[in-house]
Amino acid sequence: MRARCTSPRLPVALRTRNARRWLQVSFVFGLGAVGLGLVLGCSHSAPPGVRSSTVLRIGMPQLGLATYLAISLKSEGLFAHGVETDREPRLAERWESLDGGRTIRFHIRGGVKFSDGTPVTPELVKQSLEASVADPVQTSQYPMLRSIAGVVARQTTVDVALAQASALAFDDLVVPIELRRPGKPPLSTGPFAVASESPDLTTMRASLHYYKGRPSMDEVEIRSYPNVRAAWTAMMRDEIDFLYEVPWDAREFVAQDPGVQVYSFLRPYVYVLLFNTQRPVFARPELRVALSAAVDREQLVRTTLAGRGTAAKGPVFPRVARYQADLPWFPYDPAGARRQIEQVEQQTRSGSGPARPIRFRCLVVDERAPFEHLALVLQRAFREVGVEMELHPVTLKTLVASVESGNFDVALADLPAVPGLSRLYSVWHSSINPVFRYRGADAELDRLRGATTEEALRAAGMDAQRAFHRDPPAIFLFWSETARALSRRFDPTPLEPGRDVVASLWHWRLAQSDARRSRVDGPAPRTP
Amino acid sequence: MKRLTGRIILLVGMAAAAPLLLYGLVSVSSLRAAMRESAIAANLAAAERAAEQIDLYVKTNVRILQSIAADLAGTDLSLTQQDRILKNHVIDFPEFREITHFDSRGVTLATSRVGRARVRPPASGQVFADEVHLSAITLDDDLLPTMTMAVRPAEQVTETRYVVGELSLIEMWRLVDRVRVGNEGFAMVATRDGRLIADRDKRRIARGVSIAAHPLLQNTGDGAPASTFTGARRTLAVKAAIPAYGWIVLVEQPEDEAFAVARELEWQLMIAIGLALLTTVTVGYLWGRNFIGRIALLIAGTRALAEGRLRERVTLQGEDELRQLGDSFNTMADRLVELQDNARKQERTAMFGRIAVGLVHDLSHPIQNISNSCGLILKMSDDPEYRQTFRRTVDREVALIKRMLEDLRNLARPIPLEHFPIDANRAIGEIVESMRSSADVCGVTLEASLDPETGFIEGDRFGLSRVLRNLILNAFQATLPGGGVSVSTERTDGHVRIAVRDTGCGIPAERLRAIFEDFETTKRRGLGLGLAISRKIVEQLDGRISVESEVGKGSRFVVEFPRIDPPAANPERPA
Repeated sequence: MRARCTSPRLPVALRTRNARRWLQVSFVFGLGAVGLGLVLGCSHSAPPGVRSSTVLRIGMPQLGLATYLAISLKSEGLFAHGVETDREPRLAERWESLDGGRTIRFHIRGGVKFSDGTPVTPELVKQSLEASVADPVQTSQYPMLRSIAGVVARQTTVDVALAQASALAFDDLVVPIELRRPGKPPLSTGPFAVASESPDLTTMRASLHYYKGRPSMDEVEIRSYPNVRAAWTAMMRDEIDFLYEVPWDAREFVAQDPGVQVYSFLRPYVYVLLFNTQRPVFARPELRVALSAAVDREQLVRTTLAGRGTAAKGPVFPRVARYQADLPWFPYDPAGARRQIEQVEQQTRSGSGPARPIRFRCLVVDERAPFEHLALVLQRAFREVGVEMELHPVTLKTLVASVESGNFDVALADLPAVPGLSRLYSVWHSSINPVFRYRGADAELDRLRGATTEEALRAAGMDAQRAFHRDPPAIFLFWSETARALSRRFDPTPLEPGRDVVASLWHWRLAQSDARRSRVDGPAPRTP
Repeated sequence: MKRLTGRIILLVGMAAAAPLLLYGLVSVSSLRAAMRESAIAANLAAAERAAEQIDLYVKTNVRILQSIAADLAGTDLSLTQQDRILKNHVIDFPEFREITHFDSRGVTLATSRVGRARVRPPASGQVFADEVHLSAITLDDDLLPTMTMAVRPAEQVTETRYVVGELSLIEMWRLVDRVRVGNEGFAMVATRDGRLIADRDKRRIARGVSIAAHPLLQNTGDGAPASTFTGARRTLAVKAAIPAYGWIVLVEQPEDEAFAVARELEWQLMIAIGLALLTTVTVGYLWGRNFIGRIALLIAGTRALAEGRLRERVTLQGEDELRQLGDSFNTMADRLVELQDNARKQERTAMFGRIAVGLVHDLSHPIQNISNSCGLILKMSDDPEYRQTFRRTVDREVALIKRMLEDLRNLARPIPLEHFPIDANRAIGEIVESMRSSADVCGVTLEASLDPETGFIEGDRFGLSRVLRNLILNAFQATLPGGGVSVSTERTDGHVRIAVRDTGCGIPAERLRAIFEDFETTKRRGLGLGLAISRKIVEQLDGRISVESEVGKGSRFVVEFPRIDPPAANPERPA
């Protein structure tokens, strides 16, 4: 499968053997976690939809992204992660922790069926979980699945036994429940099922057996375009109804279109300047701390994102339930940074010779304006504190390969940050993700993993983030907003404030005026 | 009265309504023209302001690029330093997405890009203005407007180096989007060939919509507005050119909104004029009604006087001339009553005098004759022949007195008449024959010309005899000896006409109208009751009587009775 990405999302698992697999992991993890988590996170009951032949045409601004949106529309797990809530029931209507946290008992919801009508039973859930544990792709995305020691199916419940009690391990049990069939694609329990799939067009049909009720739309077409321009142009020509991603600097103009409604939300990806801590210059945390203080994040948000974002205080997404706003972070202090860098230079000079200015190379994905502008700003910021950062444009593939092989000094990228603290563990613990070669917070992350109570989890989370402040593996820059554009022919309400509008896609329906027209004329024309 | 009302309406209309209407029409017309000019001027000002701002925006960035070019050329900076300068400029001036310095061979010397330069040096033949190359506007991958500009370092003469910048025109879009005229008036920017490069509706740009057919793009004149249609709505469009780049700023606003204030003012003005007209008409009507009403009272009073109701008076309100006229009218009526009373008294006195004189005159002769006859009878009582003669004289004079008294009595009550079919010719012939002796005495000839087809009338033989004898006797008296009197009958449509003509002195015209009135006579003696009684008899017999006369030539009295069919068998009864 060919994949292209707008931003370099770095690997989660070192076990991926090549860049292709690595990209899959990145994408599945990123979009899958966001899309699936948010879509499945929707807890609203089905509104009375308009029963008419309705097709929603979605434009994806990148080739290859359709697969991951399709996954989020067809799949559901035992529960879902909310953005600002913890866990919301899905296939399991409730659960409880047994045996001091080593066993989690899920009560399977009755009446849930796979898309072919097969009832979801505890036994099938058990089989699905065991298959996921054995699937390296799934364990790449949900590394805590490896903590599962065994699964037992009972009449209405499934007991998941963990190798050790861990609140974090619970998070990755969000893995989709699928019915795997030999020689056939797996079946899921989501609101839509894939009807056909090609590189340019994925067609999904409403699942007749979706337990929340049949979706209002009969069909969803996910069309892939080579770039944002092509996708947006398609929307301008009424060839699509929903533009999955609107360029941040075009958002104000799209919002002016009376036929389009734009929905913005904070993207759960943190932009980072990732340090290679294996390099001697970054081996000690002093330089990394000094460089972190040399960056004015608020200014970055204003200039690079035109204010559409939030300065990052660390790797934890500020909208997750356990976010701690009062954590220490790096205020902009160029003078202090310069002093500290001079000390580092003095410490690293060889013999009695003059201190050599610190120089390193930054990998930047070429042809992506936001990253390029960000790199230039960082370059100038570092130059002002006496550090020369050479910018090196590379392709995404090269960047990924360089990071994997450790052949880089720093790299500019964005990293997924949901769901919450479990992602913190899986991204930054050296045993789970050795790609980053960062061990500075392993002890705190281990305590995080071992936490079994909410209080212990919060305390360990705070300790881990203090470790990131003390020994930063990257400069955490900002969280950017992104936006979706939906034709006013469709009514996505009710929405959840602050949540991705895609989360409610399964109950979108034609707006009243179009619904009336559709009842009379049949489906809306696809090409004006 | 209608004419007076019409004149007053005309007066009110001409004096008040027509000028007001004229004023309203002129005002509305002037207001409409002025407001239209004002709306056009406001829209044009918005378009020109937008054009100036766009021009300034582009020129400012050109100057920035020129400044950068000067920095690069004026100093001996290393390529690394140049590279750093360009990168810093891109950070400081985010409108520039890229700035690259090319040598004369088109090789990149320095660039703000992290990777390879995207822009290229300008090819020959591109638009060139003020040493600045400007590319056409393109849309980048994010569908945002971008243009490339290239400048040459000023002091370069031997080789052609370029500093090329890729300029984001997002700010121009924002600027154009900010142009709002009213609620629905917006601006757009197009190239001369009609390609939209900035518009509120980005869909049109994405679709590559051409507005080449827009009348303002086909019209090369400046400032002249145009009306176009956006859907079913008429739109007011104005334009302002940006000649340096060949762009045109169009501002369009639906006319119903552009001229909404004008229409509102027009309405207000029309309502004000309408109210003023209504007030004028109402006041005029009330005043006119009051004025004409008082005149109508005067007219009614006059008519009452004319109809003899002399006790009618008019009561007029106010203190003006009409009131004075009313008072004068009442005074006049009072005076008329007084005069009428006086006239009646005088007339009554005169009539009594005339009657007395007439009675004295008419009775004196018979009484004198009776007295003389009675005296002679006493003196010559022995002679029976004389006694007999004087007795006949007394009887005749007594009969005359009786007839006079009978006339007086008939004047006050209906004459007892009977209705029998009468052969008109026979009755009239007998009367004429009985009058021949009198004609001889008077020395006039009496002729009768009776139409045999005359037929029957319904009447009273005595009454008919009385009428004809009276007319013939009057004719004898009016005719000098030697003259003639003729009586004729003829048959007309449904009537029998009897005419008595004489060749006498005639009757003056001023007396003809009263000749059939009581106590009217042209003779020196008599009460003047003969013709009055004749008319009364004729009218009681459903007939009519008339007279034609010419002084000196004679008179002709005509009596007409309805003709009836002859009776079946001897209907005539002797009178």
